[in-house]
Amino acid sequence: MKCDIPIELLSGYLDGELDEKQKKAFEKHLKECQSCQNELEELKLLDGYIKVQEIEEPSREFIFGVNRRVMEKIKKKRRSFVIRFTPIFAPVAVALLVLVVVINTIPQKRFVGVDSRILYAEIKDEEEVELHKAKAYMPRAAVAKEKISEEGKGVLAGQEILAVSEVVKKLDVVEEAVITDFEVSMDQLAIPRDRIVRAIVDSTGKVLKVATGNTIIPEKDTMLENRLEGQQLSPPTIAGRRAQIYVDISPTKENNH
Amino acid sequence: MYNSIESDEILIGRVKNGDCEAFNPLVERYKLALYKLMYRMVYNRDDAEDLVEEAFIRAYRSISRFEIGRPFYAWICRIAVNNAINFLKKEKRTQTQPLAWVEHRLVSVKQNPVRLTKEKLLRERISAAMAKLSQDYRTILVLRINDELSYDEISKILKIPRGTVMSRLARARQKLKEIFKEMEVYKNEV
Repeated sequence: MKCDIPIELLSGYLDGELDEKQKKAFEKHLKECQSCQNELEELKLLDGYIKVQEIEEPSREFIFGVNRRVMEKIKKKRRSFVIRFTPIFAPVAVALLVLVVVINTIPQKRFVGVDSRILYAEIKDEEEVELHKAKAYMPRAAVAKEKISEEGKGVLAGQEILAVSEVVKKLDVVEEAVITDFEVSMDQLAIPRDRIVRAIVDSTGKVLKVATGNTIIPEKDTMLENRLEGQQLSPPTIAGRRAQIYVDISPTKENNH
Repeated sequence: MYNSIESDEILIGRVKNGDCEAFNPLVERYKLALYKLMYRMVYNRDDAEDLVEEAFIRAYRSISRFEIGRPFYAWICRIAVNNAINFLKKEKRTQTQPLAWVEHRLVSVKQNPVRLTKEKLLRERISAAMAKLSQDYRTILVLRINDELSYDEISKILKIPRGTVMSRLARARQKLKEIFKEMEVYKNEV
């Protein structure tokens, strides 16, 4: 007689993935159920078959040459890459965490801001040109990368946010550099202490867009936007170059005291 | 120089600190395991070899995001599997490539029956049956049964909940059983 135990239980038991309670209950049932015993044996046999499927041997060229090819490409990339940033705290009086995006030398290519990094890329060779063709034109937070689905998109300051797969593509083509000469005074911005605020600041230091909230899809705050957008800050430079950045201008804990 | 006894963690730590040569032993260590995984996904030697190479390069570029202490193989599997899935989607090979491979193999079996041992014939038939599965089912079976990854690891690699791993694996096994019966794989048992 066919048993109505879900196949998931049998399959999970075979894989040793049931929790203790499920496992005990299933084992108790198994002792008495011939149908499940047969099914389990059949699944074991099936797994055994899967393990022995035919695989074409890799080529000699692969076995002996893949290390060399990978290492050559890695070294080539190291020479041609550009930039990845780590977070930078402004001086104590300023105490702001700086994040994010730069516009590179090619016009419509804008780059990807992430919470703990600033990203920037420039085209160096054929292969990277390909990568840059990804639709990676919009900043988004790296922490959010873990929180958004692969297909997920959102809106930040009225612009499209990257899907994770696109961000990964951008991350693939950047290296480290140093951000300098960007300061924002808390007094000047007068941001409420409990707010998380991010802004796009252009290369002249003008605040272009403002978004608030700590999620991938920031909240809209028209009053804050009206107050901040158009403000003139010190022009940001990255590695000595004027750059547009996407920056977290939230008050720090220190400022909250 | 790096040798085979240095742990993944030590090597990755060095790579993270800018010593790219430390990546070489990792390539050596995992290239064949990744080749098998890729081959079982695309059923084509050249494509599988290319995908392994790409996976290592992508892994290197993303190494700063790798958290020391986590299993490197599961991490690079995730990169390789996602890359292979994208490759299959892009090339629209999900259907055509494995089926073409199946047909080729089965014709070859029919034409040269005496050249194949019974055991080899069985393995060929199993591969042909696997190739008939959908990409989702084949991938999850390969990760669990061939690579012996846990449900949690598979869940991370495929970015699906653990419960979905469990149900998809169960359904994949059921489907494969049906295909085995259709193809009379059991009758070829050694």
